[in-house]
Amino acid sequence: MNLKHRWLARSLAMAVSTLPVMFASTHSDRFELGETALAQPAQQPQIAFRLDNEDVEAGEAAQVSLTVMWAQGTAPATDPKLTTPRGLSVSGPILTSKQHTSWVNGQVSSRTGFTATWRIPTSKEGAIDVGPAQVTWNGQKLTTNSLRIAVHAPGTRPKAFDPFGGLFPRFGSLDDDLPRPAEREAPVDPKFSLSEPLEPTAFLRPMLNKTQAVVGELVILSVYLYTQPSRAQMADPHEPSAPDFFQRSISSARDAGPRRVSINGTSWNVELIRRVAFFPLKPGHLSIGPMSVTLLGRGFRGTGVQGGLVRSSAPVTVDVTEPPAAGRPQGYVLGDVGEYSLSASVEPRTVNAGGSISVTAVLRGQGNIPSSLRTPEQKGVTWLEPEVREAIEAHDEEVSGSRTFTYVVKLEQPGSVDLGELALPYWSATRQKYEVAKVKLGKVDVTGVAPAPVASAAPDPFAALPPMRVSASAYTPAKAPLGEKPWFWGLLLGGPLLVLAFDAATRASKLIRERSSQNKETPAAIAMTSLDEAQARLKSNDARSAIGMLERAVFSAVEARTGVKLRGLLRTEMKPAMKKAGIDDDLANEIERMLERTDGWRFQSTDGPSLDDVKSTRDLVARIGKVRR
Amino acid sequence: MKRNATRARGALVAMLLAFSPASLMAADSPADVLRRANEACDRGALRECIEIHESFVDAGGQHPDVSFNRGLAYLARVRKGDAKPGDLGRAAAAFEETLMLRPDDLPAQQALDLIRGQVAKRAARNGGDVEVSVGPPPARALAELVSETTWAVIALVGALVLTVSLIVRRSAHGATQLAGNIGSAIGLALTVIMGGMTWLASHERHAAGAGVVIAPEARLLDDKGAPLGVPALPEAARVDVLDRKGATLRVRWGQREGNVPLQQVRVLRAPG
Repeated sequence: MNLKHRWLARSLAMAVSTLPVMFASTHSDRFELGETALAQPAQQPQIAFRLDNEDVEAGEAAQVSLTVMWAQGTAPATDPKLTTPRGLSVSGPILTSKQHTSWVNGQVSSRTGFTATWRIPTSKEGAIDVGPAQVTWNGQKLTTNSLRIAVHAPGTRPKAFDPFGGLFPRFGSLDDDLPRPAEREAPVDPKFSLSEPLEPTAFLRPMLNKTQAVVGELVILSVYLYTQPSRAQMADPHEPSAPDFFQRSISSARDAGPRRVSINGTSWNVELIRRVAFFPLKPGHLSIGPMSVTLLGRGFRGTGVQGGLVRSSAPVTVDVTEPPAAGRPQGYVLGDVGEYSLSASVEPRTVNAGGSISVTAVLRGQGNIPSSLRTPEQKGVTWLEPEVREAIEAHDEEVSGSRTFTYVVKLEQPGSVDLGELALPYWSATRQKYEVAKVKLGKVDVTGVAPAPVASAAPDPFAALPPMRVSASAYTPAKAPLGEKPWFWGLLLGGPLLVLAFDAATRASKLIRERSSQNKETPAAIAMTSLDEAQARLKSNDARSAIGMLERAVFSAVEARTGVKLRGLLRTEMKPAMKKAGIDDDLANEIERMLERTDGWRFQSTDGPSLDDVKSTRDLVARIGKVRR
Repeated sequence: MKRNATRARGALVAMLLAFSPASLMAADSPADVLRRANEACDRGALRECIEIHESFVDAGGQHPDVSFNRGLAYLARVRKGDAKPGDLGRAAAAFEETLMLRPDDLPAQQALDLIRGQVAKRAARNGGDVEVSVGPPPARALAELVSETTWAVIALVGALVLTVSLIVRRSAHGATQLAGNIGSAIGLALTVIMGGMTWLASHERHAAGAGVVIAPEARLLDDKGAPLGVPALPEAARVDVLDRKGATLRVRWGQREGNVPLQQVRVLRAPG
């Protein structure tokens, strides 16, 4: 059902009563059904004295409030008082200013005033009569009737009476969904301010005194309830879950009183509802789970028990480390953190051999007081398990107290036995260093004769083991295996790879040389070489051998381009062969003429070829090289 | 004046060295540890004797004789009848450390065998599984036939034979070339196989650490913390430590593999 429908339902409900319908402004307070109201002359203040929570359970606090409103411009009422039974310790009054503007039958009127609230503690089932309440106005004492508070046994509070027998959903005041004016109930404490409320109407805010600690160090979690507009009763609490911590509930706190804080211009009530001491059990990022409660009262409606509003705090995390390893005393047990002192008494100081004495040690201090002590060890002295008693308190922001250890110690060796000392190494979080709480136990005179040792029935399986080594023999840490040396794999593979690489290089080189020499013996290569050779021989005046070179150049060029071996053909056969191979007539004729000239130089003429002939032959070879295949 | 300044500088340096973090954290010498621990044990102060040995380890010290004596100290507590749960396992861990530092330490091996025998007897009395040691995985067993250095040396010899044979076979003919061919084949086989074994031994050494169970038994858990339903690992069992995640270790013992809480296994520090 939304706000509008609920308002209509309430209006209808109010209409069946005999009260006039009054439409309120946003700053209003009004009389409720069941209140004690006085019929007053027109200018006198309107006074209402009421019980805020009709049914309380033993242990809860009841609340009564006296509302006094006077017309603006008239004398104010002052000095509210409440008569209470003798011996009842009542807190209050807490004063809240009020303003009321109303429109009745077309007339607008404004009133101003206050509400004085008292909290009355209850401890047992029964009834408490409180009142009358009174105020002073214009020199007169205005007095109300008394009220009776019904205190029920825990868990037996009756369900709220619904006068409409279930016709309408449970609702309270007409103004429950409308914001109320700021209430000046408690001192303002900016430490609890926030930029935004975590949730509307009410929320739980967890606060740790520290977010970093060592294993075993005290961490305090305080859970604050923020409510607005009024304070609420709590039901169905669920404690925070913290499996990585040992916890102790802190039962009292000096700073538990309600406060007020402003968030976004709106006043909120702040109240400490739970304080717990946590001791982390291991290192890491350790989480403390949420706490949840159901809030009951006007303005706190939801899906919780009795239709209350359920609110949960956010989980919190503590970063936990170990105390430093450097300087850690021998025998330190992780988690022993705090401030401790030890004292001890020994009795009797004289005993027969084989008899027992009692050693009582008291460990006092702050922190999670350890549950065991290091007892001294020596031959002939046996410490039995102690009886332990504790007296530990958790209040404000500390856990302190004592543990008493009572040991029975058996002494078997006669003589003056120095019992040694009891010691407790611990980490002092305040001084940030290790300390040792210790106490010397002194000497005990053991008289008589040592009792005969009892032979063990079972054989010792380890009897054959050698004794402890008395000296440290020479030891050199083993070197890294050969395979870990950085050069190992290089050496392993380098040799064969180097040989293979050298071999491959040699083969490659030979192949290149062969290919290169093959290239030199091709017909085309021979042609070019021959021309160069002819030129060289002419320059050295060896014309006769140049003739052969020129001829060879022409033959090789034709063979290289066409595959025709002219050297093996008769002159008459050359032209047809060249033509068949694709050489045109002009070129073939020129080739023939060139060959005839070489014959002429060789056999008929005293002249030989010249350098110009070499050039023309080179041109001829080039033209042969362009013949289409 | 100059002499005074020099003295002052020397004193300052000495002071800085004495209080340097390194000196504060450095372990006592093994000889000191043995002397102090033996004196405590002779007095009957077994807890103090054990703590002196453990402090040496906590400060980073390693010595086979100190590890050996630490094992004996735990066994002394067992023999006295004052054993705490896991003392046999802690003693076994100490002797395993001794053997890691000095593999031919016969008394340490004998002590280890005695401990595991006792654990088996205890398990038999309680009707449990009497298996207290298992063989390594096949790959590790193969790699540990000989030491890693031995594999490496044989591999290098193989590489040398291969290199020489390749050279001979290039420049020779007939029988010499045949010898070169045969030598190359043998050298190649040795290089590849022994080089592979060297790599395998190194891989196995790096892949997993070593640990010893120091609880009466260690149940193997899956990644969600539920028991795997296989027999628990016995006390004093040597396990392969594969990984660490938060407060649990992933371990392998023979064919069984799973997670155990950190406090149930003592991880052995590698030598060096």
